[in-house]
Amino acid sequence: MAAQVSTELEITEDRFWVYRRKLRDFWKLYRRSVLGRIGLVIVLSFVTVAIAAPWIAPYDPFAFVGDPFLKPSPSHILGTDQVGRDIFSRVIYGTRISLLVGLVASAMTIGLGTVIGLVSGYLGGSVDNLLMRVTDLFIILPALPLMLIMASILGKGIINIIIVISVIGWTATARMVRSQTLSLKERPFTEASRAIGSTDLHTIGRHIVPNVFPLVFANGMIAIVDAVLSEAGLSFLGFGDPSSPSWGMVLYFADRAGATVNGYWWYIVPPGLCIMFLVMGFAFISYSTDQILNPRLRRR
Amino acid sequence: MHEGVARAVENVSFTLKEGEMLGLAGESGCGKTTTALSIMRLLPPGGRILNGEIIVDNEDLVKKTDREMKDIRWKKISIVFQGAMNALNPVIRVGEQVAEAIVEKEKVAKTEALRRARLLFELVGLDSSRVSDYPHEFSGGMRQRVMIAMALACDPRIVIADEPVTALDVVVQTRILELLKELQRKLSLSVILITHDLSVIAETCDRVAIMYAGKIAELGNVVDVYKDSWHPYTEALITAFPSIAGEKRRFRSIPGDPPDLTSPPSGCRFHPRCPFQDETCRTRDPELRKIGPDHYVSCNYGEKLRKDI
Amino acid sequence: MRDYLVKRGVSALITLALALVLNFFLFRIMPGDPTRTVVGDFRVTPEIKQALVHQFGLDQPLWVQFVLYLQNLFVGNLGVSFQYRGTPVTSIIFGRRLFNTFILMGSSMGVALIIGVIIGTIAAWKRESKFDIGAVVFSLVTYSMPVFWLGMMIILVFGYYLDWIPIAGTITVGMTYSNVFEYAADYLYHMTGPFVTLTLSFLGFYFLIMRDSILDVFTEDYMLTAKAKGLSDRKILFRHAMRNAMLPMVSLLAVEVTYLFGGATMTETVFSWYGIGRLIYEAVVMADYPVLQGIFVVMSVLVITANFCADIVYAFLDPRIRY
Repeated sequence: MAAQVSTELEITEDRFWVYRRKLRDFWKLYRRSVLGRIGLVIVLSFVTVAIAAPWIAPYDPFAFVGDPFLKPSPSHILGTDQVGRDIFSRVIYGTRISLLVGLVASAMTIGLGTVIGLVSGYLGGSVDNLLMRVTDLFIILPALPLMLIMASILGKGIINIIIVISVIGWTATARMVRSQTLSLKERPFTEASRAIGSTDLHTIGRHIVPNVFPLVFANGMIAIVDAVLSEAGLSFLGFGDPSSPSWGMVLYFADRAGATVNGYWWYIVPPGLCIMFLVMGFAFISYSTDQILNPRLRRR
Repeated sequence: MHEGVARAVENVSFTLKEGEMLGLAGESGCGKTTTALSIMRLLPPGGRILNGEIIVDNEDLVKKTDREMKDIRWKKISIVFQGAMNALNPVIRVGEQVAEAIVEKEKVAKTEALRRARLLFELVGLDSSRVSDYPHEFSGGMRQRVMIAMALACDPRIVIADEPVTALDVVVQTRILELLKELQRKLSLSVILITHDLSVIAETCDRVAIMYAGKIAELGNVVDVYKDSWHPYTEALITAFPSIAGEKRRFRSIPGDPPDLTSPPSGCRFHPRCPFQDETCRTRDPELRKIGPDHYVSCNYGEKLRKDI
Repeated sequence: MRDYLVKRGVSALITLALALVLNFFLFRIMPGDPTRTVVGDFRVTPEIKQALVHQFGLDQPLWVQFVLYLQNLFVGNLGVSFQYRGTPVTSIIFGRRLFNTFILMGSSMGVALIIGVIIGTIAAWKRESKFDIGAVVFSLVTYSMPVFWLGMMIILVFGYYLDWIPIAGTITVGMTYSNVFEYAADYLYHMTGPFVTLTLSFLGFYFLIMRDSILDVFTEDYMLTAKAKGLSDRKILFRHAMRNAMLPMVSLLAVEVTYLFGGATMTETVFSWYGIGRLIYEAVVMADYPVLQGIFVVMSVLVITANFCADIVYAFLDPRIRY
């Protein structure tokens, strides 16, 4: 009988290379999903339009360049609004605001949610209890009415919109991060880290955050979706900044101009379609990412 | 793990005689469950029967349409799954789950079906009043009895039991096996008992088929196969189980792992783990051949090895 | 089961308490004169102002105000409206508006749920078929549309171009009715637009969740058992799969009520439907803080109660919780 001897080599990879490898693997899987590719194309197109706005838009979005309420024509693809500004240019420039607010607001939302989730999950006990109660409260209360109430207190403007969206939207991320943190807290490497005397902050930063990150990313896409839709809604209801018109604001002006009741479809359809497609783009990315990162879904 | 086509079951051929219990043994992943699911045409999406026949009562099941199979299922052949928590629907009462097959297949009223369910419960040793309970209210062993009762609901001729006692502790195991044996006798059932535990087969089965990597290694009468094993795998399996009454010897396990079925080894699938393998084994995949009145083996060197041992 | 319900009940009460606390402080942090939020400006007469200052203890320390706030809440005093010159908030909220919103929200939620559940089940069964892909795309599209824009489009297409539905309002202004059926007919006629908008905007969500849930259920062992029994496809799908897939849906329904408030606010505003949603918008525009505070309270109670009811229903549906 032969004796079997085997040695196991331990190869520790530099964290950077581990990330690179994981990213590459993720990308390989992502590339194969149809929805994922479509979503990415859509989002990148909008980003391109936003960056290239000054070169693409035929007119200055604030300039009065024609008679009001002109119908679509070769010189004004989407006609003019009630004071004679070119609607097409306004929609193009609107891409910047809608995209920017969406990204910034969702970044703050995720940031806030992640911090709260980490703290709550890691510390546990009464801190956790209290934070979760508050989270439950914000989940249960209707978002839009709450946002409106807060906006009415804070006033109009983009900054306020961003604040309002973040303060109300952090809950989903917080919950998710917290449950991840809780499960990671019990893992051996966390205990090992504490055992060798690392500070809590170090443990969180080095061990828990990297493992939470992928989930946060997938969730982030949904946060962007929510932020874009919320911003559009709040702007439509009049809380936006007229000097930085997002698509929602364009629709606000359209409504004030009576576009719906007068049949000015060129004023209503394009901004709405833009919102819809941008949201769809992010939703597709989120769906594809979720399919890859959530092992439970792969089984089906 | 990579993608590909796994030939999960290849050239598996056996006959189940009426009123007998045939054991289907082998390691996990050797194709036992796949064989069972194939018989009932229950392969998951992505699984296909490439060719072959399954003849029951002079009819080939492979050629049946979906609708015909639905008819045959449970009436002619039924299956007892490992009664883990999930094999029974958690939100429906167990009596109803037993009865629904009767209602659907024999077109009787629900009250009548429930009455029969109660009788079936008694038959398997359960209190008949428990038909209105939910699955989570039963222990593992009792859930298995429910599964058995359910399998017998439409008086099938063949019952396949897929690892029926694996998840149970030893004491309960024995009781359930005794129940199975008794039911088989009483109702003249033909049973295929699937398990990886050879001792279970030894206790209950008349004949046995040992499977390895999707093929049958050895097939025949239980006594012959156990006492007079020809295939090295069979021998290894039998000696792997320590016996209290037998001689004291070192615990011997079979080195290596079962092969990846998307790219099985060349020649005899067992050769990488076979202590007697040689050139022929690496190139020639042996067929099942008869070596006794009811004994078949698929090994390149049956006789030669026996002389050497 | 009793323990479970008691636990959920206590939890609901704590959440309600937190909501009321939040409500109190939310309006007190407003920049400027805090008295304004309760007592108002020129729109309210001095006599009423005095009464309010006394009622809400605005000349007293904060904690006294809080106590008085709770006391007032308890007796149902939600303050008086600014824009309606002293009308008690309670009478503005409760009454016609609440009724209209209930009818709208209830019906669209019900219809969206039924259609979403059935189509979701069938689509999951016929996975990857044209039906499934079509339904998924349709749902993703409607889910991505802003609700208010969907409303505008519906008004545009069906109101302006096709003239099938009225553009705005709950009932035709100035019309008289000879009997209640005529009234109901006119009411429903006006409700068509907002109803279709709201239903469409939620349909997609229900569909996707149900489809997801059923696909999950398909991976369970008992589905193989059901198939092995040779049951008909219909039986397997609706009796075995759906019963289990519905469980997460029930938990979802409570969350839905939350989303519905947002959707209703938008829809009612776009269609000028005389309900609570539109009231929120009007109050926000007119800076009518007492009304907003009152709506916050009512909304919190409604949503928390809905959640609790969902918990009760769930307990009934899932036998595992009962024991």
